[in-house]
Amino acid sequence: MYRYLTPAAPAIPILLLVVVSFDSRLQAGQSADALAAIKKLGGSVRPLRDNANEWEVEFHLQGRALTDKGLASVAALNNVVSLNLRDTKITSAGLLHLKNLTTLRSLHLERTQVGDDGITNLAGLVNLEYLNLYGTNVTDKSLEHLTRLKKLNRLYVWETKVTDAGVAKLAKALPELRIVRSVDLAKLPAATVKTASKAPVPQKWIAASDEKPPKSKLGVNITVIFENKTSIPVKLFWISYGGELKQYGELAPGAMRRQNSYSQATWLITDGNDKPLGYFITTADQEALAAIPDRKK
Amino acid sequence: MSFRAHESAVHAAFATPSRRQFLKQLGAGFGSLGLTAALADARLLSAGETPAAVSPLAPKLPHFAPKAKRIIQLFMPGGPSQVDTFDYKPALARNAGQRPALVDRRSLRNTRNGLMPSPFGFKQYGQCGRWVSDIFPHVAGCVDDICFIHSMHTDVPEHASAILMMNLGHLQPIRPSMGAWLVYGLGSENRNLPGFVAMSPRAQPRSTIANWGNAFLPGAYAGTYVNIAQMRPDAALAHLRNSNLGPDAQRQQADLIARLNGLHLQRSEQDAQLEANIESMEMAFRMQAAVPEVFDTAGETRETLDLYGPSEFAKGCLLARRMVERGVRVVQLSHSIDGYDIAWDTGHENIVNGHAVLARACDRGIAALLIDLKRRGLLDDTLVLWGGEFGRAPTSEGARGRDHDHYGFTVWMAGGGVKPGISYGATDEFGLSAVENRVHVHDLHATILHLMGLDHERLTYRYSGRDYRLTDVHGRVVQEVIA
Repeated sequence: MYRYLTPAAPAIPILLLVVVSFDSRLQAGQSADALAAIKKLGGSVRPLRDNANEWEVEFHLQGRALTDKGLASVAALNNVVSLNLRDTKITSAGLLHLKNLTTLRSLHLERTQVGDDGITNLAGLVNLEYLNLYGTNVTDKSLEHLTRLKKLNRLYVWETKVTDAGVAKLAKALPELRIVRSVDLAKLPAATVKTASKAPVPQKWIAASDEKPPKSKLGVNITVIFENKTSIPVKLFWISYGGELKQYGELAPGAMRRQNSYSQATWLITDGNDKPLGYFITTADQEALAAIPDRKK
Repeated sequence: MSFRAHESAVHAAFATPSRRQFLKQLGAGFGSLGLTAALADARLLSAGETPAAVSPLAPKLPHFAPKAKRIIQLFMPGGPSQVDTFDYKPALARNAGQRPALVDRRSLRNTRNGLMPSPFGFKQYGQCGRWVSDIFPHVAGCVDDICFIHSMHTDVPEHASAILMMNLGHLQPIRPSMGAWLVYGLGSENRNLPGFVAMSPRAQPRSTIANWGNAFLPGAYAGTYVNIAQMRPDAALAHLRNSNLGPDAQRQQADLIARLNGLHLQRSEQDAQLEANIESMEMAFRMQAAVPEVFDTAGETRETLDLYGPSEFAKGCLLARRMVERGVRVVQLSHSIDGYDIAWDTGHENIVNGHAVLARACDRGIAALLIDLKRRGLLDDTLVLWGGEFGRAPTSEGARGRDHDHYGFTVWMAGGGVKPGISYGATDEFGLSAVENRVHVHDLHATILHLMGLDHERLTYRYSGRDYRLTDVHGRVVQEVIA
């Protein structure tokens, strides 16, 4: 049925020639071998903007299989200002290839296996402004190698072994540097409120019995801080003005939660199977502490 | 004949060039085919350019170095009240029930009952000392990262048109959405996922598809809608999985079709529409693997899941982070807690019940998103925008509610090259009208495009005989909010 077909003619090689020549013209000054190698690894090389000789190299989307060896191609490029290696398979050994990339302003190494041995290679990247090391093996030792990077203004070290002391030391050496670790959401509003606030007022726990908890009554706006002191997850229900149960999520054992509420509100606490454990009726204090007691004690 | 043999035979047939084609490849072909292929290869197109035979979603170069590479829009349809959220007006309490000339604007539907103080307490937060209502305690904890614009104004106090203005820059649903313009201008970073995803729990915002539509732009730039109330990826993106063929067979099928189409393409002089079809088929295939991975939050730590909390909106916030992390250019997450398509419009009768419940449903998720983006180092080049289509008047409608107000309202941005911990512009002393450094929605759009590396006057598309822009003939980049 395909007897009328003719053998293939060499149209494809001609096309490839054209592609290479235009590639090299548009990516002027960059090694064609390095570009081809990076492309093969799933990485991308792009100018920062139209008509710019500043290059952004990325492996974090389609090139995550990148290993240390592949970084040699990056080292062969000129004017690389931004390099993203997030989630790749590189290690400390690979960072040797970055040693001379002094044009780098932004470097993403987060969620890789790099550690202190590798970071020594970054000590000469004096134009670095942004360095992301979150989720790596770095410790305070790495921070010591960064003190020469006077232009560094953002450093990310969440989920590392970096300590308060190490951060304080680096912050002293580089006062302009913003060092980002994590932020505890539960502590935030209370910790940053400027107006003086009194300590939260403990609320009375009324253990569940045959008697039905009362409906909420209208009151003033307050904040209730729930604390689950039991060893099981509990559910929080607000008993509405009409007596309906409205769930406000669950609280893991030991967890705390700040909750907007009103005074004279009834908060029913149940176990994971909706079995009532007890309830609180909030007082008219600005901050109320509703600690759910452990039954065993 | 085996599948492979069949394939190579077909290939051989189509690969045979005619004499004309051969000459074209040697001569004129250099200028068109060669260049576009090279451009596609090197991903070196400028913003807005989409020559034939290049994937319309290939990344393109911005006009200038971008501050933000991606945007997450937290859209609050229905009109959140500025004086009950982020625009603190102590003068309301001192003038309760009065109706000064400032608020007597006849064109607003309802200001008859005079000024109504906010029923919520306000406190100062952060090093910047910004006043925030008690209904947003968690967002309040992030004020040092936020840039508030208190002087927003728009054209009409009616939901449908104002929503379109906020998302399309036009009062009618006949223009591309901002997200579509951005993907048209910049392409998509991840070839396995859409460049623009619109999400909401439960209700879609009013005018639904127009808010993420492409209008006259090529179809590849439309947003993909996901309903996050149904979190299973299979349910969220219907018809994604091929129930008839396994992955290997599909890959073979897609390769064969792509090759046939590719050969046809050479013959039909780079038919852009065909290229878009190839692209959408390819993407549909690749999305089968990539999309479930985005939606599967099982790999997140307990600590991260606790940070976001259990609300539906928070799930959307977490998904938004996972999407921008994977190179999705634009995420639009609209708020809703039930079937109502303009959630924040619940303020008419009773601002306490309406707004407190809505704020509670999104406050923690929004703060978690900001914190999570920040600690991962993503907030630097991800722009977060919060706001509705207009605000609500500081006067009361009935006894405890507020009516629409398009003369003044608040939006805020964070990350992505905006100045952190500042507020720009102001409403009058009662919060009704923007009076200082007024910012129209067109100005906001121009500013967002600028932050993303695009000149709003240069990003155009020729349709129906003229060049269109997101900002039409308006728009001023608000340089004062750019870091």
